[in-house]
Amino acid sequence: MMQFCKPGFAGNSRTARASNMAKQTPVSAQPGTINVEDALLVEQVRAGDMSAFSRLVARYQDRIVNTCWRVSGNHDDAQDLAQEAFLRALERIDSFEQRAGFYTWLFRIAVNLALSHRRKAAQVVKLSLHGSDGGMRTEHQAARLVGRVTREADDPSAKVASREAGRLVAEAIEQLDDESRAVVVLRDIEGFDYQQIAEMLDLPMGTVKSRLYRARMELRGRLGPELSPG
Amino acid sequence: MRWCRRRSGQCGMNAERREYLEMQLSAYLDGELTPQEQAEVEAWLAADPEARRLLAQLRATVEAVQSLPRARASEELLGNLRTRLERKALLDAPGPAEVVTRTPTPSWGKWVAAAAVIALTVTAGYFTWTLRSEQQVGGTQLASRDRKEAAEPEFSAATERTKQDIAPEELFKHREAGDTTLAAGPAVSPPASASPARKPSERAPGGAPALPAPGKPLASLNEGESVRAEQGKKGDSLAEAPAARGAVADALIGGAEKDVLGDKKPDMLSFAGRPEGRSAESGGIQQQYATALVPGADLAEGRTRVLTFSFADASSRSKAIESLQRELLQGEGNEEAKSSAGVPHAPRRSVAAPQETHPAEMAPQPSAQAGDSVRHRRQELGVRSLRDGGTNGVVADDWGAAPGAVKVASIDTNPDSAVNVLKVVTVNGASADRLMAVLNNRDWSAGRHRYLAEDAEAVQLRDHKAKEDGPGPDRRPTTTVFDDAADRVWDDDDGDGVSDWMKLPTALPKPPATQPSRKSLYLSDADTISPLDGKMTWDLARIFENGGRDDVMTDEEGVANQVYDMALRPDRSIVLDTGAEPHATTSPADSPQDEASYGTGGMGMMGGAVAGTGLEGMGAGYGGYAAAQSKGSTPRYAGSWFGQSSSQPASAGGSRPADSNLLVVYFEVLSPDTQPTAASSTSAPASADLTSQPAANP
Repeated sequence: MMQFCKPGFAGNSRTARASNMAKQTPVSAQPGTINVEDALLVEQVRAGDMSAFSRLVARYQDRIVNTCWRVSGNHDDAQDLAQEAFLRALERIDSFEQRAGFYTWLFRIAVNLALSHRRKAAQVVKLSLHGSDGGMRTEHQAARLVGRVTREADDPSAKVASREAGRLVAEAIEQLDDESRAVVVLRDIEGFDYQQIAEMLDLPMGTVKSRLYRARMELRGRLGPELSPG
Repeated sequence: MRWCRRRSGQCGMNAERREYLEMQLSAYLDGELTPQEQAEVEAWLAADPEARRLLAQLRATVEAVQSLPRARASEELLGNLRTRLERKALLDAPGPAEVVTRTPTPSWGKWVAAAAVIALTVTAGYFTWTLRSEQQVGGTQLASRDRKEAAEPEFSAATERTKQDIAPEELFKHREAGDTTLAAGPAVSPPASASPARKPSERAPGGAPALPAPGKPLASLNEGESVRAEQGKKGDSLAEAPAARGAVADALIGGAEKDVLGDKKPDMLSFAGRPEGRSAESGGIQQQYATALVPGADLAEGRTRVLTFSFADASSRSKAIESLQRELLQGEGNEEAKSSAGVPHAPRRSVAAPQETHPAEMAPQPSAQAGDSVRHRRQELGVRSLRDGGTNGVVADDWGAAPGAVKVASIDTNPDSAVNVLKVVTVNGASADRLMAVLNNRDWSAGRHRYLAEDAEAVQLRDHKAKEDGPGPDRRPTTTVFDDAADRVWDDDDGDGVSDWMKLPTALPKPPATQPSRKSLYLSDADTISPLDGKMTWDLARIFENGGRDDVMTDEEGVANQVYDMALRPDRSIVLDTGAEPHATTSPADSPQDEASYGTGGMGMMGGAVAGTGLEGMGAGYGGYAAAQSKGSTPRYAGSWFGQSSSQPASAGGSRPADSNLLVVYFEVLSPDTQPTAASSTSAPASADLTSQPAANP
């Protein structure tokens, strides 16, 4: 079986994963808990302290940008989406009830923005690709992408040679439906726990669990059996 | 427990059960199972190699996802975000009025919403204070009517005493040496008192603190007089940097209400001076100020105007805000604000009792820098004008238009913000709108453009002749701008001892006979094509292209040649910031002196031309444009909005570009029901005043 390995992909994966998760999760891992520092900063922002808001931005900007990228699938737009997310958060911060963490709320805004952006972008792409036809469904586009991925997956040596594994994974993620993609991004990329994801997406935990399972199974199927277990 | 394998048909577990376990396996991978569920999954794993294989695949899948490269926020994200916030705050459409006269600490949510709450000032035209570094000291012109100066101290007692005890020459030495402990007025405002009340006839124009000047009290100086005192030659004072600059700047402040033009109006632009010589040592008033002192036009409520005060750095701005806040809160007629802000009830201002002074406030500011004298005193002047016993005198003009009660709604004092916002509740407003009308009026703009396109010297001479002989002949349009207009407009070709540019007002194209319609206050789409004709169309087009922001006077090197920003507001009106600070530090090719010459020359040529006519802002802008053209520079869009352009180097005085340290003052216009009685009654007919031309000669 062709090993589909790249650093951090499979080798030493447990260690890498644990380390990665730790770095990506500055927020509380305890479901339902509120980050005190965030709460204080939020209060300061409410009192008009822009520097507090700047600290909140600095605290989460990288993760928000990354989330926007992976959820929207558009790296170029991720910065703008993140800006927009912060802007909206600030605008509505008076209405934010600190029953949940600020980051939960912030990520919810970001994910919703990214999903919305993706939907709009998909429409634009459809028109630009097919001109007056306009009848082509996004499913067809997805099928084409799947086909491309599949064709490329048929040539694992090319994949390895071109180091496109990451791209394939990213494309596989992009082919997930919006809800599944959001869950995967929040869990497997951003490292949020189920409770946090449920709060962000306003879903029951069971739904998060099942969506994540199905998404992973779908990814597993798309990436192929070559995806080597560690 | 029995397990089944889907593919092999090996059964012991139905598909539904298997799917459940697989889902549990996914959660098991995440550590999200209860101990009981975990035990169940582990039992399955122990019994079923297919389960173990699935677990490995799921784990590999997760790790593949986790290994994806991560995006990082760009370094500009925070700055861009800040810019967007500020822009949003400024551009949000006005909403229902909400008069808040209590706290100076707006919440951020309300901060953004604040812009939607505030409407237009009646009185404030456009008014920018640029408080730049020492080499860029400028003068401001305030035509405030200090209606209560007789009862109010002009300066703190300690400061007054200090300055009076020091010879002017010594004061200038201190200033030149960067010692602001003497030359600089305190950043704080005076507590009520220790200085004796002025007699009405001795009032300091605009409420400005009087700084002794060589030879004579500054309060009685006209613009340029300090120069003559120093050099015996008019126009020379600005060459004596930095001492002369300070003297002139002080004179400008002190002379804000002078009427050198003899037109019965404050010479709002007549202070324009030109630095003589262009050596590196010589300084000059780089930034000129064009306050729209125009007659009142009918204004609707719910519109917004801002006064933008640009500071060299955040520290200066903070000082200004502190002073502003203190003054405003201590000002009469602001009891609500005082109480809600927790400020002790300030004694009413009266002739001073020495014990009422606050030594700490009078102490020199440790952080004061060279040039702070002018800055602080300008700030105080503004404060005083704002306060003015509850009367907004900032842009109260010589027609008596625009007085009204002023209250502070809130002050944003966050030093990290590129823009602080002061909300002021006022009543009645006109001048700013009038500026819009002037800007958008085709007749006027066309005339000005033609004017600019002509040989500056020829124009001024012809106009001088026109003053004597009536309207001049047709002007000769030309695409060649006079090469050294900025210099020559200061010439005295007719030998009457007065720079010729002072006579230019008579050459202005006649304003429209009727008051521009309300519609003319706004740009339509069609107007974007040719509201200002020719070159200006280039600029306006970019304003639209760039979402309503532009600094139109930068050259190819990105150096601003002066003079203004133009911003398109959502209501499609244009805000002309005639005092906009150049958006970049100067290059050898565009030294401060050059810039000063540009601005000053332009101001001299055009600003002077329109002094007192309500076109000061335009004059400044066009003058700068002409000057820029005369240098062969190509204006281009530099793409900034309040200094957030990454292409703009930080100013010497702060970590941000100088023009990012702004204090934006919003005026909210109260409804007629709440207006004081004096406000509207003193407003002058707009059209009549606009059509009147000031006399040319002093």
